[in-house]
Amino acid sequence: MDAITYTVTIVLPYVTLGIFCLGVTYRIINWLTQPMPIHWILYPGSRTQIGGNSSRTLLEILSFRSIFQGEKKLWTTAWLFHLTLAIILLGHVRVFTDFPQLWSTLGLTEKNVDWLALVVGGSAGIISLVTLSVLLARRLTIPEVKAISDIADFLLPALLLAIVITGDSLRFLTALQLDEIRRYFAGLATFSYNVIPQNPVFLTHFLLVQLLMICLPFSKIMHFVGLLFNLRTVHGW
Amino acid sequence: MKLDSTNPGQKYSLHATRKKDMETMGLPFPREWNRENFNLPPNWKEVALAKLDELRRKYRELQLFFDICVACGACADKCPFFIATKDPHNMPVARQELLRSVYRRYFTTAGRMFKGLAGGRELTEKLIHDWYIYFYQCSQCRRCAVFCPYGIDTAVFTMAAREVMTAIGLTPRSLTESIAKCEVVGNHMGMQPAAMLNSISFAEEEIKEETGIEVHVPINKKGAEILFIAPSADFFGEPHWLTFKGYLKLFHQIGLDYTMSTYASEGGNFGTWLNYEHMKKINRKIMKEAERLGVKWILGGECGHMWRVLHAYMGTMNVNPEFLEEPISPITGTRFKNASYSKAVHVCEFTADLIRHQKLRLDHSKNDQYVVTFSDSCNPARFMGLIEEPRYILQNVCKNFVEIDPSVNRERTICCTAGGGLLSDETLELRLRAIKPKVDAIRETGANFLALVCAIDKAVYPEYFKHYGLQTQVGGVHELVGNALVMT
Repeated sequence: MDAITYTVTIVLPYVTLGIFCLGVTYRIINWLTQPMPIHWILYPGSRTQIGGNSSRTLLEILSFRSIFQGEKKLWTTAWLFHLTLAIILLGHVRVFTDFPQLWSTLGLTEKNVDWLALVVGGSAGIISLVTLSVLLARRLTIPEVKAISDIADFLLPALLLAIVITGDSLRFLTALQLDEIRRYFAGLATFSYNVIPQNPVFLTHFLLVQLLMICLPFSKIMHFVGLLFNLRTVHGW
Repeated sequence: MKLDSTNPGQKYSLHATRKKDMETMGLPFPREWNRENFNLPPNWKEVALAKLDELRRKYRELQLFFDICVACGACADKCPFFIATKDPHNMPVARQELLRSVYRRYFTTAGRMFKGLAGGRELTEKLIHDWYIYFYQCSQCRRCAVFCPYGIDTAVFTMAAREVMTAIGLTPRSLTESIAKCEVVGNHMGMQPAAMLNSISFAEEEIKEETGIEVHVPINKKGAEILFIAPSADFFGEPHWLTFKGYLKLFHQIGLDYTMSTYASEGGNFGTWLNYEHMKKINRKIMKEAERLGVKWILGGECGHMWRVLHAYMGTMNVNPEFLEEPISPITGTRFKNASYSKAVHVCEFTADLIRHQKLRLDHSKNDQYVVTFSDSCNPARFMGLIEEPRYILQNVCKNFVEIDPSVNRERTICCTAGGGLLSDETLELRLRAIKPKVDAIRETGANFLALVCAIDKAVYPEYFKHYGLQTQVGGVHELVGNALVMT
């Protein structure tokens, strides 16, 4: 293995994971440790901090209801995009490992699971591609949204779009051997290094994801953590 | 919705504070300046950036909101000032961006390295001019925050930007005139204690003439159970005065052990709209007076931003009011748990509780000539969730109650557009345009009486109705309570 391959396929993933974890932790600790000298309340909100506020926040995360009441079109695309993103992230667990025990408990054969992954994962891949393109097109065409967008608002969706496109082509256009990829990641996890699959689309996809993971802690994608700190509370009645 | 790239918002800029008032209030850099020529001190940029750095470290919500907005645009067309002007800077997210871009440029690594490419913007005098215009075109009503998926609140940005501007000596006269009066004389109206006493005895006389019943208002009474605070406009404003008489009749009828104070003669707090220091200073008088008189809790009148300070901020701002007790209604025994943090109860909660326990004899025939509607005020609605109580009262004191379209009322209310220091002649045209959706909605209800729970609302709506040709009368919720109350 030459030095460049070694750096990119063996060293870089550890660096990426390190930056990602430390970065996100730093941001969360930074927010948590800052004072709140005056109390902010926003109605409609919940009346109890622990029970009410958490369930309200959970509902907000699952349904995006604040956007729903204001902007129905935006809600449709944004909600579908985030939903399919969640499905895709969940599906990617199978890229690293498989759960034969779980499948047999559920009475599923390997074939069933692959078929399920193709239908659910595949449609999620397509829907996320479409909704992401719509969201990006929206930034370019609607004057007021264009006016409030800065460069990062275009670059981040563009990066996501590139990841989704390469991911979709891996799913639909490439005969990819999952075993090879699993062996590679197992090697990384156990520090016994295996050769990375030599598929150019996979390599591109993998590198773009790492780029995203490096940028993420310092970008507005951190909104997925930040929304847990919202103001939507009212004093208990 | 189309944008107007000529920035029509630039037309509306507030007058500068006079040097004399800046000196009285101890504001930084007292000097002669005006809205065209700021005459900024030479080191203004360092002062401004140091202040911004201090604020983002001090307020978690500011740092958080700097970081997490994804500019989705859900708030864009929710701001009444944007609807009115179509000025791109009046979109809530764009208003935030005036401040956020400076934060990015000077306080993030990416911004220091890549400047504009990372969404950063240099802090220039031109930008400060934009701040002075657009952060004083936000009434801090927080309608945008209701539609934001993360609850990002433009008022947090507006308050921070005004704090920075105050630090470099930029304050509008519409605020500082009132604040100076409040800090020197005791209230925003500049009313001396004797004038307040006079006003109260007039009210007593008028009630005697109308009902034949002798009402006595306790003033500065030590050992009373409750300190009653009202916005100073209630003492002689029109139509506030009728609401004021409503409170007095009610308190007399139920035999409440309360007192008013000539020291804490102001419930409102214009300091809220300038900076933390002056907000705290004005609020402090209420706490001091509550302690001196030895009251158990505070009852507050119909006011908007007063409730923002009393309900949300007071609990931490002026030492937790530990000498006060959790409010319990002496008439019904109800414990006001919602006020256990601040020890201040809104008069509408108090009255709604009385009606609920059937402690009042009400005769709605006195209000039968009115078709009443209720407009929610931004601060009571969105800062304390006071939405059902006024409606409950109104449904009990009058026969004909109609609702305004909830897309511009309840928690989504477009209220007076004159809060946040915008109550001045310079912004009158802007305000008239911004209030149009609400006035249209009120016209649709066919109501001839608009009930309100905010002193600024009561002051500006008559002017708006005159402009838009509505015959609707304006008044307070407790004005109608006072009418319907059967006194014995």
